[in-house]
Amino acid sequence: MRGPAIEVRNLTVSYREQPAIRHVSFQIEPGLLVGLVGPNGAGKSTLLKALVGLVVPDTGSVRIFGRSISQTRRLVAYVPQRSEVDWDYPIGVEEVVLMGRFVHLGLVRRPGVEDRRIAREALRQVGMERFADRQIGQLSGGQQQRVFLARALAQEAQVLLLDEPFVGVDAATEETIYALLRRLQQEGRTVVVATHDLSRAQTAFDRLMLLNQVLVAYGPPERVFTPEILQRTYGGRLTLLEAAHRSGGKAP
Amino acid sequence: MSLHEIFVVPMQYAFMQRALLAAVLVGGICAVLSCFLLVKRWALLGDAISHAVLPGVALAYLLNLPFFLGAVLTGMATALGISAVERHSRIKEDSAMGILFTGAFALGFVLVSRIRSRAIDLFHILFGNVLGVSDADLLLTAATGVLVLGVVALFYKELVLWTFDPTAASAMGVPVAALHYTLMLLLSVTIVASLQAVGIVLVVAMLITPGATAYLLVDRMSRMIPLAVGVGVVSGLSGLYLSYHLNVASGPTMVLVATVLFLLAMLLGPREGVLWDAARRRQTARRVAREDLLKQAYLADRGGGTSVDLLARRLGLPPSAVLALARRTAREGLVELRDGGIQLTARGREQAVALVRSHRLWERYLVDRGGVPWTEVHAEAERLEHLAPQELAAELDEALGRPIRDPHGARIPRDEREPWEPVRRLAERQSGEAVDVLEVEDEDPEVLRRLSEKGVLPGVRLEVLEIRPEGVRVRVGDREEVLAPELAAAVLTAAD
Repeated sequence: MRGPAIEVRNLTVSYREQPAIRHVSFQIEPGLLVGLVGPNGAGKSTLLKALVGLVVPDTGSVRIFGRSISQTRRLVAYVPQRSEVDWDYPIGVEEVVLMGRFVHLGLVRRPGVEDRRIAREALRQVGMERFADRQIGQLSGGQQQRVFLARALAQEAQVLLLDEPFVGVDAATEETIYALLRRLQQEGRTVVVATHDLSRAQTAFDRLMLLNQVLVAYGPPERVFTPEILQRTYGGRLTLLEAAHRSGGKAP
Repeated sequence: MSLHEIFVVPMQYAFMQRALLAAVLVGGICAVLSCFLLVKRWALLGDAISHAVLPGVALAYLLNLPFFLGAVLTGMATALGISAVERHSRIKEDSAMGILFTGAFALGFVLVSRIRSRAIDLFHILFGNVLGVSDADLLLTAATGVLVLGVVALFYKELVLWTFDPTAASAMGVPVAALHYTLMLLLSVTIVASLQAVGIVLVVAMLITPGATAYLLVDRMSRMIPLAVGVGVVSGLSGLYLSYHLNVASGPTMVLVATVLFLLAMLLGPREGVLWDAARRRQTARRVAREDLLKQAYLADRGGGTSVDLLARRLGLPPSAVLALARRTAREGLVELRDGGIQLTARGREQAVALVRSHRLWERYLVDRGGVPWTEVHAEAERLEHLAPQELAAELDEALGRPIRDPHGARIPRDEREPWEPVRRLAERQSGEAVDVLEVEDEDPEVLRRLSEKGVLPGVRLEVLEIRPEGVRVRVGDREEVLAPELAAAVLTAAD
């Protein structure tokens, strides 16, 4: 696999004539931990969804390691927002992780012994093997995120896309998830995380992507975290943001 | 009536044999689908499609087509129409369903009333007539069963992934749109195949109740489906027999059996059963009351009195309730009722000490590690001593470095053989004495707050200046304070 892990050219996506993201272009080199930051409604989820073909773009193209989305489904794992999953579903933790194997099985074929071994191993890597037989809803928010990361590992994905993984997760668990993401990056994976926590994003990521319908900036945090770029991303809420920037505290 | 008469005699009629097969098939097929409808929250889509088959039946009759074809077509068309309304307007799914299925149902009625023929028996379409099942109907139902089970077996993992996490499913390239329409088609076909047995109105129950019943009892899809099939088949079978022997309509009887099974699962289910839940709560309440009695009997013993009245005051209960509680506890060999008092037995004392120990360790833990103010910890520890497992006390003890006293100065007892520390209340001391505050009683946070404002804390030395009915005047360090009687009563000093 050569070339950029993700290459997006002139991507525009609309919902009912309302453009959600406009003319977005960027390249993400492999092996980076990338934070995708922007206000509510900036199109963070839309961009992530476009990267796995969940929404159809009006214009533009997405290439993963130089190939089209449909050719690279095995390589890309998508972790949805918590609210998109039914946590009361009658399903166990191990079965959820096993779902990561489905991209390798195709239709009809059932997971086998080897798939189960891989799923177990993935659970072990995120430190959740003791919970293999629990119903998914019995876990805490942070544990559920770890199970979904295990599913991405079981998929043997090289690119991980996480949509707001820290919503409804306490600070300590947030740190364990960051540590886990860092480990996945160090093993060579490319990880893109949509988040609205600016202050943490400043230190946690190798690259930051600031999005507000258009791509405002993409680069190392120290280069993009300037008052001027933040203003263009967050617009009118500048004063609060400046204060947040100066104090290094949390933005609203 | 013998078993033979109940089960075998009805089956000498060919129509009963066919009805039996139909009931089993319909119960089973609907149950399999019901599991997916439940997790997909499509319960009402079943309702919508079932009503929408009526115009199809009428149209098929007018055009001289097989009624099956017409019914499936209008059923599917309505289902697709619902999706279309939802997608192309601001109307949400529930309203879209309501509009389209009532519209289709009304159209069906209009057509049927125009036909005015004996060929279409509206009552049977609405409520089914399992006793009138023909061989052709049976064949149709069996073919539907093969189709439904085949599709579910082949695409089981895709169906589960799609219903659990639709976004990840499409990201993984699962053909979710195809699954969506396949499930809709299976639903329409199943409803039409069930018409003869249970009818339009009641098929909805067979498409919801078995899955919901199983969902209450197990938490894996792989176990839910067979259990739901069991519920569906049992409802079909016993509904049929009951209706035969009671001479009532069979379709509704099947639905009633399914409903009863659901209610039983809800009341008695081991996981979430309402009755078990109530029983568990009652048990816990009893245990907490018993433990409180043991603890108070132990603590009251220090003051030398364990009369029912005294314990009633300490527990905040009427004496009659304490007496009843004590009698129950006596049956377990933990206390004895003697001379108007409640005496702990050796075993009761052991338990009481363990509780007091656990309580005081928790207080220590909450103050030292939890940062909870010492005035507030008593109530929280009161809860924890009942809830937390007893073994945890040893771990707390270890983690805290084997503390001697709780935050209020009370000794943390090691075991039941440990004697009481000799103490005297502040109010019993003499003027002019210098005394060490050993412990402050911790029940009332307000008292604790006021004492700590005055600097009267465990470990502090006081000089008693004057004992008066309106309070005790003391010197704390270089200040003079007056402690009101309720404050003075809470202060225990070291007996010298």
